[in-house]
Amino acid sequence: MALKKINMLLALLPLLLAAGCGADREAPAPAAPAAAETLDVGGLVPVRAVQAEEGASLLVVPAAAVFHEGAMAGVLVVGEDGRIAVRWISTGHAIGAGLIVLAGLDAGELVVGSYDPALRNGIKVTKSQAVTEEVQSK
Amino acid sequence: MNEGIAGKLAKQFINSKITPLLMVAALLVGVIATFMTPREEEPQIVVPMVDIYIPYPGAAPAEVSERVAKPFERSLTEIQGVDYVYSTSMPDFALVTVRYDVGASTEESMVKLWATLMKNMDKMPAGVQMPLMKKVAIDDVPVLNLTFWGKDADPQHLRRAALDVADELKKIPDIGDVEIKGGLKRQIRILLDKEKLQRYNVSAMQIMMQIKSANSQITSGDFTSMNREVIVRTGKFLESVEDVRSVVVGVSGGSPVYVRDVATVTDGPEEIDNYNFFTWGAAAPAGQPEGEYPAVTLTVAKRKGTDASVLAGKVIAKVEHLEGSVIPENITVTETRNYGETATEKVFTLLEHLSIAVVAVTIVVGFFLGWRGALVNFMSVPITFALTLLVYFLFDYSLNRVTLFALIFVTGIVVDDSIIIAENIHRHFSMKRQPKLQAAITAVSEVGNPTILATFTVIAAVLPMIFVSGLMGPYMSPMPIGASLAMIFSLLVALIATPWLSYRLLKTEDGGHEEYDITKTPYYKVFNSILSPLIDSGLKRWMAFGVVGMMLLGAIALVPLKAVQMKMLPFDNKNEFQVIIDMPEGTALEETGRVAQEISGYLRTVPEVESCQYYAGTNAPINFNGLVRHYYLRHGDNMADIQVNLIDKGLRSDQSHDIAKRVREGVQEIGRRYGANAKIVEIPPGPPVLSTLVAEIYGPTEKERIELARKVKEIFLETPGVVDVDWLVEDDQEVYELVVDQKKAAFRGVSVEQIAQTLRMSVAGMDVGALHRQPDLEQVTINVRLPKADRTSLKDLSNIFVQSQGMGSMTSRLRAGEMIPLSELVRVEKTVQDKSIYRKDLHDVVYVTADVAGITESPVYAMLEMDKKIEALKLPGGHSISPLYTSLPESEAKTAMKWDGEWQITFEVFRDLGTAFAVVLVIIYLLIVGWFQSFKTPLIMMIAIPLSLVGIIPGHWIHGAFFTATSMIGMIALAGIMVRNSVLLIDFIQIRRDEGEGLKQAIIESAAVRTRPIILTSGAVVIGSVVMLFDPIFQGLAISMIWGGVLSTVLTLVVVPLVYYMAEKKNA
Repeated sequence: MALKKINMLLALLPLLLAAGCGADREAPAPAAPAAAETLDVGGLVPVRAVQAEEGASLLVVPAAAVFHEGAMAGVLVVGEDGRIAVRWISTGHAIGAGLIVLAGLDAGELVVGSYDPALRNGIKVTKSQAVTEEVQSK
Repeated sequence: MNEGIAGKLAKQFINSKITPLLMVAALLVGVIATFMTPREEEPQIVVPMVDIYIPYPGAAPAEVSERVAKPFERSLTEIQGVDYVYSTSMPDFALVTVRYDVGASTEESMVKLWATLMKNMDKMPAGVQMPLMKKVAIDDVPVLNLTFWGKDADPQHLRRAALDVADELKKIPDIGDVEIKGGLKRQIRILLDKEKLQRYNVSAMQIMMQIKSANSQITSGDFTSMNREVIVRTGKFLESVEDVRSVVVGVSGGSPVYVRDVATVTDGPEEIDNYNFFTWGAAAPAGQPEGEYPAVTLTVAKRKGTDASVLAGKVIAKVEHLEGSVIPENITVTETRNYGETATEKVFTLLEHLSIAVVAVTIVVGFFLGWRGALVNFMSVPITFALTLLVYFLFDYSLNRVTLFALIFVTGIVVDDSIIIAENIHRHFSMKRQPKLQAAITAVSEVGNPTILATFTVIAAVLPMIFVSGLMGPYMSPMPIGASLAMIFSLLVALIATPWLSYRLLKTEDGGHEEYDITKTPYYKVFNSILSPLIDSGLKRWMAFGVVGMMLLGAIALVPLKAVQMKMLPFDNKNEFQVIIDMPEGTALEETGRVAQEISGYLRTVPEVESCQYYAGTNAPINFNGLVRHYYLRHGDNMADIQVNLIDKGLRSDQSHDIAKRVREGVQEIGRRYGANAKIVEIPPGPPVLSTLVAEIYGPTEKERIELARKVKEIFLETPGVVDVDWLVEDDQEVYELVVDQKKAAFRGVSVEQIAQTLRMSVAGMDVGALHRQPDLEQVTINVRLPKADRTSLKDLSNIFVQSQGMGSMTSRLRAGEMIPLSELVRVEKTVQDKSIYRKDLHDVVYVTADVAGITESPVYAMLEMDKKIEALKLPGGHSISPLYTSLPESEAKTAMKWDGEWQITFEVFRDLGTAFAVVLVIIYLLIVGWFQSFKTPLIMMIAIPLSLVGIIPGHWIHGAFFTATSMIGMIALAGIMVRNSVLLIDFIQIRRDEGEGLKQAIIESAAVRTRPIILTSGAVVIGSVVMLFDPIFQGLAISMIWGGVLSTVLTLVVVPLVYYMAEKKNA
């Protein structure tokens, strides 16, 4: 009896194993971001924090850095990886040549000082020494 | 021999001309029904759930809860059939969700609810506005999403294009709700200039009133002259931005002041309240642009009972037609969801599986009975299914994954009746004791009655599943119904069509002419060698029983050893998932958008992602999950959703659940950087719940509840395998309360209402009317507001002016019209926004939610692990809590905790299935007692049922699968099948004994004769189930049927005859 049972099991085992197993597989690593050109951009400006009255502070970017797309206002920021990204912001009043940023940026982030439509997402930017120092001193 | 019903039927139809006609007719109607039945992805579930919004402007959550939510909740208990009542009291309004018993009529529930609501409206406090009642139904889930995006397209134009398309789409019959997500509406914005208002002595209220009165036109009447009537009309509607600019709002220095003098008036998009973007992912079709583009999504829902794929096809064809005309060149329309396509795909995959199963079974049958026998069976299965599909169509079922699955599930079972009949005819033909026709009828008569009995045993096994209650009920009900119908049809086919086919197809073999002798068959030899020693020797027999008993115990032991884990349902392999982002309350929209942008930037690098859309400030088109979780209410500056579409499952090796698990860490890493809570939300395989793991915290005060919730949340966070931990307690949001100085206001002739209105108009903006005679499909509103730049701080608010009403206010004798700065009348108090109050079934509750992924995939084990830690918690007052599982705490005097979420459904389903199983056993017992007229024999037959566990549990262990609700269904169905095998076996023993054979000889002969049909039928079940192994959800059922079927069959053939021998020994 036992022999018969084992034989039947053996016959069925490969079929079942082939049918149900093999679920765990190595996860493929995320692909690297799109190949980037490296570009030298003049005039990267950090977002400034300006003291306003009553101890509150305001964030200011150069007005030339801001571009509009329909109702949306944006700036080009350079991320930690040195790549340009569009950031949508909400703007307030002008202060001199600058524009108050109400939301969307942090103090010290690098923005492209004058908006250039030729620049787009993902382009790599080399930061000039002066800018980097200025950021660090903040 | 007595012919019985079976024999009579066979005799009637075996030579009838009507039989082939019936067969062809059945096939034809089945094919027609298959194409006429609507196809959809999810089963039609009626979850009578109703949302009631009760606005109570200005009230704090505590007041809303006390005055509005609680009285209403209490009145709801009067209504019969209310299952759960949930309420959320937020500032300014209450949301009460009522869930009825599943299956209750929606219309009736709505009427009852409305009546109760109206009955209690007089008890509501003053200030409560008209409640809004909304039914939540599965058909609200959009089946098709079209995302409009373009490089140079701004949100306003995108929205307009989408609206125009939506208008066209609405003309398609059977279309449900069409909605637009995102984009900006066209609006006439009157942006006030505070300085100019003061200079011209004009207040915001004045502007509102002037515009309202200028924007009117009425028919004054008519006069008659010269036999003609002339209509007189007075006034003129505002029709353009120029009209609005030219409204006179006051007089200053003798000259009129126009709107344009005191405000900037623009005709363009409204103020931004959402950021929606579309981006292609790493797996995008070739040639698609990189980067993200402003987007607007048009969602299409379907009407109940219509075919999702047909509707989607029509909509897509229409949209293609509109491209270039209504849709401008610079806007691209991309399908970002098509449930029609996935439904069709699912249905066809299942139909394909069905055919594979039928072919596989045929091959197995062919192995034993030759190709002619196989052909008989091959032809009977489609007839059975055709009839079942016809009934689906007549019963208004749709073809979805559950109804079709019911068919696959029974593939192996429905062939059985035909197999048994065909096999016996085949056997009788080869015995050649009678002429062919007579042999066929005898063969049918011989096995006919046990076959009928056996069919009803299987039906008795699956039918009680209909009584599964709760959300899972409608999910499962097509299974017992479909399977039972198929069984009945298969019986009819087996008794009518199979004899007809067999008589014509099966050949009597020309071979040796010697008399048929059972003892010479190989089956007899095998069984003789196995059973004889066991029958003869009591010791060996007991040893055999011992071995089987040990196997059973060993198998069951795998469950407490956690080698086999229990789970409700495993995740299905879908083509999408969502990321739900919650920023701390008080986060600005741009900041939320930035986080969504960054996360979607990460997600699009994932190789399987085809496209992402993020919706900041508004919700993504909801799916099945969002329906129950109220994701459609997600609007706010601190919320964002990301819809992630994966490439088709055929083109990737990883299942969607694995991808979701893989990206979770990356997504949450970005979220943590900004203090955001980002959750990966997959489409649940079964009924959706608030969250997989939900801890409900009850207690006497809010402080104690939140305190305990915080501790429980910490335990959640430190338990491995528990992810996406969150709680429904808002973060502190800063609130400036402007308190009006009543005395000063009265002296200056200003009312509190005036101040409140002015502030609301300045900050939140106020619609003061709409432009008339516009071609736009959406109303173009006229909105008065301060420009965003002028309302950024308290200082900005305090130099807003209100106008003294002078003597008109009844409190002041000063001159009217004086402009008074708000700063003189109000003082500012900084506070924290009150938190929303959640209640469930009239108890205040705080929810802590989480999901499980990774180490533990089953919430039950995570719960058990956390139980220990929660019980060890030290609580103020010195009492400890032990989490409750099934019922709410009896008193709220102490803090308490209850588990909910998937657990609740799991508990209900396994409880109901367990009960169903018990009922099944009783019914089977009764059926067999009725047949064999013995109390003992049925028990012997039912021994086979526990034996199936020997295969089922180790089977799950070998496959590394969860023991799920579908496994349980498999186990129950198997009980029916196994008992049927025993019935066939013992029935033959009794026939032989009645013919005067000795007990031992009868047993061995019966085993020998019945082995072939038993192995054939069980083999058919096993082979028919193999296709299901690849379906993530139904894998458990397949494992149960395959492993349980194989082991139980083998053990049945040995154990049941032996037990029967022992029982009948004395009577022999």
